[in-house]
Amino acid sequence: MSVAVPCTGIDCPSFRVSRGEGLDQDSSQKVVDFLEVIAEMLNSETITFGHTLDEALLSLYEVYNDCSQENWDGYGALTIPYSAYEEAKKIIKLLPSSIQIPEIIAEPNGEIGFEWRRSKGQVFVISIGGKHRINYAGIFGDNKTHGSEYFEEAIPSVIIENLRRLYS
Amino acid sequence: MPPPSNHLSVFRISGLAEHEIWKVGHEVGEKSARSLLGRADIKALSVIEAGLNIDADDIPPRHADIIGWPEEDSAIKLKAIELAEKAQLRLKEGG
Repeated sequence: MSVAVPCTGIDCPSFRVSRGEGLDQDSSQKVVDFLEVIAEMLNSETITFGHTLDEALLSLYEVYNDCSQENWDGYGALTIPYSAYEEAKKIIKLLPSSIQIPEIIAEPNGEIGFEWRRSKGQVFVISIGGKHRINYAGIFGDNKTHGSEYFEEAIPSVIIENLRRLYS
Repeated sequence: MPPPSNHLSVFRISGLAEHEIWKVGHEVGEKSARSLLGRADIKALSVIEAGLNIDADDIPPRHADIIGWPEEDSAIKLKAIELAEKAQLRLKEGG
């Protein structure tokens, strides 16, 4: 069997321009968000293992922007809400510097996924939906785990423990 | 990850030549005005071993859905990871 992997970014319009002057409110917010990411990149000296924090924040913004419209994957995918973007940004900044920056992906249920893959059969993934809840799942050889944790100000310890397990 | 409908759309490629497989993918992409970047090949047995089911409706020909996903979001995520680990990613040549 094959699953077609669609393009999610190239054909997605980033901004909508109203008939009046300037950008609509949604597009204006996206401009602000993008400028904030650039400002953080210029001011930040934080470097984490692998990709830099700045690269991760930019990647996160690009994923959010590319998937901020309904049916962005052609299979009925839900819009990634702004709350998910904000929550994901918060989590990236809270990651310990010893933890590798994850690959950032959009999920069809409207959540943002962070994926850490050490090797085949060694992977840990979390999903952030902007509702103060982190869903996670992982495979560590023959061992598997999955669950859900409340998130407010600090990354739940079980998430950190699984990340350390992945890279131990 | 499956879409909100929990029916993950796939095509059965057994017996097809490579160019025929890519043709199916291109046709799928065209219907949704998307560019095909690649495909993920997985054996039907791997889907069954992951505790999921395959619903072959042949609409269009060779189409099927992977169904039987669990209720819990994190459990769905684990199944998706298991499938991804057993799938082989094939990128379209020429970008």
